[in-house]
Amino acid sequence: MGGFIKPFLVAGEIRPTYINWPGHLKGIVDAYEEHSGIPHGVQKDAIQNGWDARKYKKGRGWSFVFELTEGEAHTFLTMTDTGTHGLTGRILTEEDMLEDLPPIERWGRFENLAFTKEPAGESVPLGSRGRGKFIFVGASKENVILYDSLREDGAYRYGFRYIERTGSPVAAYDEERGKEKLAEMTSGTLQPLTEVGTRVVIVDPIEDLVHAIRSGEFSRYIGETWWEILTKYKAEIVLRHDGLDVKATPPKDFFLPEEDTGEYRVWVKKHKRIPGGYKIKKLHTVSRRKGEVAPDIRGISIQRGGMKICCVDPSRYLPPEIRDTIYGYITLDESTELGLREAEGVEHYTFDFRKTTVNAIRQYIWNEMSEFAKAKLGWGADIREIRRRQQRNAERLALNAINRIAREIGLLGIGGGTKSGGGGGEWKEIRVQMPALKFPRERDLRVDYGENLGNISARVVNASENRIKVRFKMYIHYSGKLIDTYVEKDLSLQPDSQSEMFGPYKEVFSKKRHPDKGRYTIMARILSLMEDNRGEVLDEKKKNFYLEENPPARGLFEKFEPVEYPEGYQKMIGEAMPGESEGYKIQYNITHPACRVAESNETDLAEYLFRLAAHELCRIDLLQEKPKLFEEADRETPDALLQKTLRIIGDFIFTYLS
Amino acid sequence: MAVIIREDRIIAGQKVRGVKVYKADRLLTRELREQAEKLDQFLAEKMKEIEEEMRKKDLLKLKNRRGVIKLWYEVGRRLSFVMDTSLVPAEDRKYVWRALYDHAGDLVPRKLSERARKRPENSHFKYCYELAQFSWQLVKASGNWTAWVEFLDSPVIRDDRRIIRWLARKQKFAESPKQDWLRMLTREIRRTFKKFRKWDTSILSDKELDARLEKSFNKVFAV
Repeated sequence: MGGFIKPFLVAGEIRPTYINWPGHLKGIVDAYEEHSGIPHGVQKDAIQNGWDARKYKKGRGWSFVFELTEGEAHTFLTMTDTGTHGLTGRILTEEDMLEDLPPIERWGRFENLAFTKEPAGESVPLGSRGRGKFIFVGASKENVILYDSLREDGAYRYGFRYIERTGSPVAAYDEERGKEKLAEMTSGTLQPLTEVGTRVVIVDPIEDLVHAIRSGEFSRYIGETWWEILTKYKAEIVLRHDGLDVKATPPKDFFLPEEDTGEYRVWVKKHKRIPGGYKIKKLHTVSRRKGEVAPDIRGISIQRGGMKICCVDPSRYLPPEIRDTIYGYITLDESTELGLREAEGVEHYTFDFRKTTVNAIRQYIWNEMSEFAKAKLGWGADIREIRRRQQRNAERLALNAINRIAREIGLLGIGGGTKSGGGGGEWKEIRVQMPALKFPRERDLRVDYGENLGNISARVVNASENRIKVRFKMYIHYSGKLIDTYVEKDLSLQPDSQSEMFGPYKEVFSKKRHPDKGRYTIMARILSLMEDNRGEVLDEKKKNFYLEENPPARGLFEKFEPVEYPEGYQKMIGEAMPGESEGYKIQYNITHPACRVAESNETDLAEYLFRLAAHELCRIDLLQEKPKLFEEADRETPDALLQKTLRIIGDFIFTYLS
Repeated sequence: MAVIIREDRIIAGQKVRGVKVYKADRLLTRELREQAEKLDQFLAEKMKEIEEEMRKKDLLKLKNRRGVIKLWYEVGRRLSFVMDTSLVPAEDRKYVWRALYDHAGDLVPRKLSERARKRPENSHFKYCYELAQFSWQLVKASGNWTAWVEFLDSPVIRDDRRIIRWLARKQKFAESPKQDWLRMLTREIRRTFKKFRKWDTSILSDKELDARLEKSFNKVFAV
């Protein structure tokens, strides 16, 4: 405890903080739900606790059994480890908890929350925050768990935990008393442990969990999470239910050949030191050439202590036809694993990739995936070029982000939507029918060099009562300059008929073929070949898109415009000005030192401009008759107004950076 | 890249003249800004050079006078650097046509029009460049600058470059003693292709198009 407060503490005056335990538990459960769900979380935390308590590093003699048992009035899911130390140590008092707990006080750590003592010199434990046991409580309809442990010295102890309004009480009973209590509470369904180890029992498991066990999903979860210890240490993990005894195995589709085969391409790197001094034990990447693999194994799994934490998704760079075929894993040396732990989410499903170690590892994986894709999977793109392209997207990201916020509060500029322009208008009897184009990114009219525009197709519809003779043309042009003609065909169509669908064609963008950047148009046109109006355009549809350039922004803010503020104005950062449509543009001063700092990097500059736009959004909102961001009270004093503004901007930036 | 243009701007509620605005299709990083400043310097020097040359050749005094077409033709010949992608990336051309006004000194034709601001590809200096693609003999015989602006402004002519190529081939125009034939021809071409709400002249083969243009030509020169 900090020295500041101690002299002020008077017995009888201070009170504890009460915690709403059902609410707290819900928070924990929700966090697991956000990842892979409660059943997945149960197996992960249960095995993690058991594996952390193993007697031998390589798991000799270790096993873990999940068993679903129907009692007279209740169902129990027991989770039993053997080949472990059991929950050693004393039943601790509050005074004991004031001291650091030595490793041997396993029972004490299990009963309490967030009391950990990292065993010096030992391997990094998987669990560390003590939250795992609460997923078991959350997985019980009754919010009750039972637990017992048999130690090597023959000592037996039984206990339970439940949840009430302001607490999560526990109780513990030693030896015969414990055995009696177990028999009493489970109506004799569960017998005391006979082998050294620990058992945790979920009383009346939730339906999701029971279903996952019976359907086999639970077994898949185990295999997918623990494939490394199942393979490397032949760890025995068994699932018992309804008279079945199922041994967990790595998923069959998580097949890890060491060399290329007809069906698989393989990329293995061993014992590599990467920038930052981090050591990679092994990166094993596989691509299934016959097509995509199951979503739960896609990507490269970052392993820690034999457990899968999460996957690095290759989707940032690779196209889906390659991306979705890739799976594998990366293992690291122990000191690097320690660094990983600092970045690991409390539920053990995520990493904070802003942290140096894990960011460096992800970068390494991305680079290697790129090399793999180029060397063996026929991918031609340069990952550095893609990164540069992403930087070019920074402006759009900032504009989109601030416009999205503006839209949410009802401040609109020019119309939204990402449909390519053209078409619409009157419904003509003789008309072009043109399906949507397929862009590299959904809802984004931008394409870059090396990317494709697909589904370029169209047909002619003749809904008139006359037979028509027309020429159908479909082509791509840039500012009127013809790039290519996909179709140019003379057609004769009966009344109420339509032509075949022409296409789909694909446009692959290259500097050679498309030297000009900016707005391109795919045009589909019907021209009359009939005597009385030969050459007349009977109908046309066009779809615009943008090469290496951002489509005009949609929303309140149209663009960021760099301006060199002249003398007398140089301390200004910038301001929102009326734009060319009905919105605003952010005119910013490029001579301001803050801008000069940010301008070295597009991502930083975009963030700088986002902050400016966020401020201006507050100002624009305040100019409205009924501001959406500010309450009446916020505007009563300058101080309140500034405080609220700061808070709102903080919110915006949080959203942007998240 | 980025291109610097100068505009009147409102800053902190005040109108400020000639503020440097950087036009780019992406965020203006330091690298882009420095490139833009170099390009700005280059454009300034180039336009000054052209201006001086025009002054020395006594062409500058033709501005706002009869015969100014010679001045704009000579200026246009010297603006071909804008189309040189090693100097100006294609995507920046539209901004460069506009930026030329900032450095043109006495070559600036008049106050910057709204059109030049919004569509610099249809602005004065771009048309100077277009004009210089024809032979001087033909340009000289065609009438005045206004007639050329009308010709180059016509959407049907802009949309089908074959019409400009056809005109360039028609050396016999150059020999015509007829005054103002280009304006008449432009109107006749427009009339021919304005038959329907929307025409696509590309449906016409080169031969068909030539035939129609010849018909317009004959009409003009038959009168």
